[in-house]
Amino acid sequence: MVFLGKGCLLPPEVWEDVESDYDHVLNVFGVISLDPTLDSFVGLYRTTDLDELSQIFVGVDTVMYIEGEEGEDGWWWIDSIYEPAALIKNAIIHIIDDQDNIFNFTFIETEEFYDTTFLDTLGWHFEWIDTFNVRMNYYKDTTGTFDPQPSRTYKLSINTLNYDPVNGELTTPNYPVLIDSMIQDTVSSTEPYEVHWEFQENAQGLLTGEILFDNLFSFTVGSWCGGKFERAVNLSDSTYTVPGEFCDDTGDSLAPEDFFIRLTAMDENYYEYFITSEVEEYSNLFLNNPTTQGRSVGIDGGFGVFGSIASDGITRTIVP
Amino acid sequence: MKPPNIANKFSNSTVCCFLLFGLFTYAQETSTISGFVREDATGEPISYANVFLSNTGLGAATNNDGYFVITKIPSGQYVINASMIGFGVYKKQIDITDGETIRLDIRLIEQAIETSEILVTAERQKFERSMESSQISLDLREINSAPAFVEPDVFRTLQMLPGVQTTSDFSSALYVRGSTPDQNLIMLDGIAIYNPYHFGGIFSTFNTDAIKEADFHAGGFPARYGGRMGAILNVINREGNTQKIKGAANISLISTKVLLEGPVPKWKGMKGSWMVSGRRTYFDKVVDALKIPIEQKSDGTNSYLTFPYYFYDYQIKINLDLTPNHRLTYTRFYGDDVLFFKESDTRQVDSDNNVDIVVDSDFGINWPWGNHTNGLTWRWIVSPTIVAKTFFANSRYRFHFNMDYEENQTFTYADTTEFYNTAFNFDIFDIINDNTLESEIIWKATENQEVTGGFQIRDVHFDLGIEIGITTLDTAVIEKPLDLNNTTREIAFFIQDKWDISPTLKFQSGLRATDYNLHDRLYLDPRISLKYHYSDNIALKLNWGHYHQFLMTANPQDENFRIVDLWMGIPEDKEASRSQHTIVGIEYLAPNNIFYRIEAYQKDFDNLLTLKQGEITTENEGEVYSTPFNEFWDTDAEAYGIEFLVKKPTGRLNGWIGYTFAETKYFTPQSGWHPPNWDRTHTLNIVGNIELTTDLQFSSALSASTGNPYTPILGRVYDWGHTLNSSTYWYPYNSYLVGDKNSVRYSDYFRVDIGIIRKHGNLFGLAYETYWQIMNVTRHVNILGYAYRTKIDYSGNRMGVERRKVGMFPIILTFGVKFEF
Repeated sequence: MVFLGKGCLLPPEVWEDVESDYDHVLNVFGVISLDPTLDSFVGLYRTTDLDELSQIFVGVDTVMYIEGEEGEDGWWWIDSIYEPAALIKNAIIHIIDDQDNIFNFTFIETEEFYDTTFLDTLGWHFEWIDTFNVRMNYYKDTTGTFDPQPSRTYKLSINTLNYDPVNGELTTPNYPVLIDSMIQDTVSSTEPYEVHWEFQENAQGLLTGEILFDNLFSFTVGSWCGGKFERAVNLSDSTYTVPGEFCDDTGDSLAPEDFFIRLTAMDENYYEYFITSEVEEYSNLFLNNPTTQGRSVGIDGGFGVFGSIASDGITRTIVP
Repeated sequence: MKPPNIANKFSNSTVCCFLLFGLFTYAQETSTISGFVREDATGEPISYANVFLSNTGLGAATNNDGYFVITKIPSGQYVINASMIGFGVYKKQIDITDGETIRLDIRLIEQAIETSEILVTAERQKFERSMESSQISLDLREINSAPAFVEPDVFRTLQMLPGVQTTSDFSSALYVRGSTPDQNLIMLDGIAIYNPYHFGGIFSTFNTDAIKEADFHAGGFPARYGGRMGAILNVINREGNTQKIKGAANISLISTKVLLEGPVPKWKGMKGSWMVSGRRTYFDKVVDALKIPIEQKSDGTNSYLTFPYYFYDYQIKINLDLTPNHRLTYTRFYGDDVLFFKESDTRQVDSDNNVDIVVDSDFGINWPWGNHTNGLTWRWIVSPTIVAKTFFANSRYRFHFNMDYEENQTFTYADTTEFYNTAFNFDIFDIINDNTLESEIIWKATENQEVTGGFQIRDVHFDLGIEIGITTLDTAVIEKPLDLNNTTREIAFFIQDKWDISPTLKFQSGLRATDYNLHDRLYLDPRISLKYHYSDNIALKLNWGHYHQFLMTANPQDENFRIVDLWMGIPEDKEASRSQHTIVGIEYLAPNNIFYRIEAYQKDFDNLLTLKQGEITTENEGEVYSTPFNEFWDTDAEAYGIEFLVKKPTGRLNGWIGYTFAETKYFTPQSGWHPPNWDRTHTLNIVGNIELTTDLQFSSALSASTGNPYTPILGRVYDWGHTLNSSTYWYPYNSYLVGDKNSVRYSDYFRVDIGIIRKHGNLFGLAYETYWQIMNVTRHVNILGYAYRTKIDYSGNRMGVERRKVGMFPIILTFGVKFEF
């Protein structure tokens, strides 16, 4: 036997704190969206130290009052609110178009969203409209004047105290167009089918497909095989054949579902950051996750990306 | 694949060959003595034996085959002497007449008492004859001199020499003067071995019981060797006892080794010898035999603890002397590591009154990796001064990971039975098949000149792939997401000339020309060596050469452990890797037989390829494929250093002290200039062996060095992922931010090992010896790496990062016993 007496022969495990000693830089995530339902924004953070708290407590949110059991007092459900310690709120951020128009992006802490719930039962129709605030912590155009256009150049300028300025540049993609008439009405998750779009030269994108389940708690969600796909495509190819999935269970008992096909065109920066770029430039068996020295795509002076997308989507029926 | 344009490329080389053969015709008819020097008891050839004629300046040293030739002998009466360390001196009177050719088969008798005359003579042979810098030959005694991890290991001993580094205690891979293990040509009896390790590198595949000697060139090797640009290690196995059948067995903590050897029965004037050795680990069998239950299966039977791993290797060597001038040698080496796991289960699924459902499932992993080689060598002594060697060898390395899952469902109804079957299979494999035809002619043209020329044709088939298969009763689908299949061919011609310009000045020049079928050019590698004897005991050496390499391993650069190598040919669109070696050295052989050497080296590397370890996608005509092992950083490198070696090879106290100062830097566009993770700036190795009594031997090894470099983590940064389907969102994830690559180092490395061998035991007439070894006796924690963890509070808030040392070898005691019969 090889004698290894734990506690006697093996050294004890001693954990020590790791400290940081480096100059922080800004950490940027900026997206110019050509999709009308999606605002353009810039998220701004900084790199942080290893011995630094990752988030800081900024207040409480009183969610609701919980009634107590019979004879007992109720209590208030209060949620603590944290925000990333790396968040930068006081920067001056400008987007400049190729006509030298300057758009000021200002910090937005929260945005109000609406959630509507419908219920039809016993001949009665119920409708609830609920409003809630979501912490966004990003910069966006609040004047409504920023209206990005395809195939245009936009520059990013970020200035803030104590950090080097960050500048970026991109050229927005053209809108992709899926050709509705050339995509079959009903597709099968187990059979190949073609997706067609209008030709674009020197453009890349991401083609995705997703089943739109009416009820996410339905039994059918777990039983579906295939359907979902994601594929980086060259928009000059104009077509892509989605391969059928190999499914052991034919799923004959499953009902057809709605199926959403989306083609997203991307500028070069976005494509490089999300599709082709190396993310594991340094790996270590003992470091849990591979990591990098920091990635900068489309920006100078900090880490992160400045990219742009434009999308088109259609809905079809999918059968098992 | 382009057709090789051999005609044009080799016009110059062909001229050289004709010149070479033309020169043979000028071989002069002079009086010559040639022959072999062998051990009397076993018939094993003796290398570096000194053969000389008394009272003349005429003499020669034997080569690795034990062959010698003394030319230009005037007629007369002489006493021929042959001597070697550990053997009695052979003396014989001979009469020589003009033009006579005498063939001698000299047998040396082992002699325990070593005279000083013999010791000096044997060491001086190596000192005087060797042209190349950085060369060292280790015999079995020297290989076994350092305390070993469980078993003696030639690679572990080589790691104690100057210029040789390693990544960790867990690896026996050799990093030599800035070269990675894939740049070393590791040969067993001349046949290339691609992954000469067991158990992820902890052990080498070479069974030391079968080894006669190991010839190691740390750099500056001659034109005779090619295709690699780092170091050369040729492990030469014993030929086998020509006198009688003998055997030895060695039982260590992990394996049992057996060696048998004996003569080939003589038939029609032919004679020969054979040697068979084998080794297998037995821990898996021991665990199986213990039948330790770990859980109960659904059918009520027990599952037992298993140890699903073993390795084995065996070697066969057969020598057949067809005539005194023709010998055939067959060499076979098989060695595999096998990780295996198989589990079957049968379960009854809840069923109603109408149907019984039984599910049988089998899950298995089968992962063999290793080398198989076969080689046939024909040695022809054309004349006393011309020896031709031709060999054909096949060397196959493969790893093949296979995972299977199969499920059979049986539905039994009242009146019928239905079957369903589903099987899933996952394979990842890398198979290298190397077929080499090689021929060389060594011609001792004059007393002062030796010419060697030859060719090598090496076909290497690489098959790297992933296969995923899914089958049911009526359908089968096979996907091949990775399929790199390629055949490369290297055709090389070489010629080298060793010229003793004067008694004090020797010059060796050589040229190797290689055609690589994927590239449309001829690679030329000139090499020169110069040796100047300043005095009888001091020699100055200079070596310079170019080296090209046409294959590589595509393993991630930051890997902490390497289980298998992923070998590939240099792609068509990449230049062959190139290195230039420059070595200067001074050697001093003291009168008391202690050898001193100082060498400085400088190596430049161009066109190296570093796998983009995170790159799992490839863009090709706009589409993105998942094709790992296909994206590389173009890499340059530089290495330089100075080494000191003091070696006392004989006596009651023997061993060596080696010190190395080394700097190695790699350059990739991504990381700039940086030291590789195995670079150690200062290394001190001391190996000592002392015969306490005739029965008791004590050995120790000390190794101290600068810690290995690593990449520090500095802080945290956000990276983002995205989802672009029916909804659109981006999500941040917290990543560590690392600093410059390998910019800081672990604390210094320090390890002391000791061992004791007790010899001459006797158990019922069976001779045996026992050995005990303690690794890392000081319990120094040598750092393999840091393990990191994030401190998180109750709200999920990250509080900071902690790390702890992950150590290499702790203190380890091992022992074993060796029998001879």
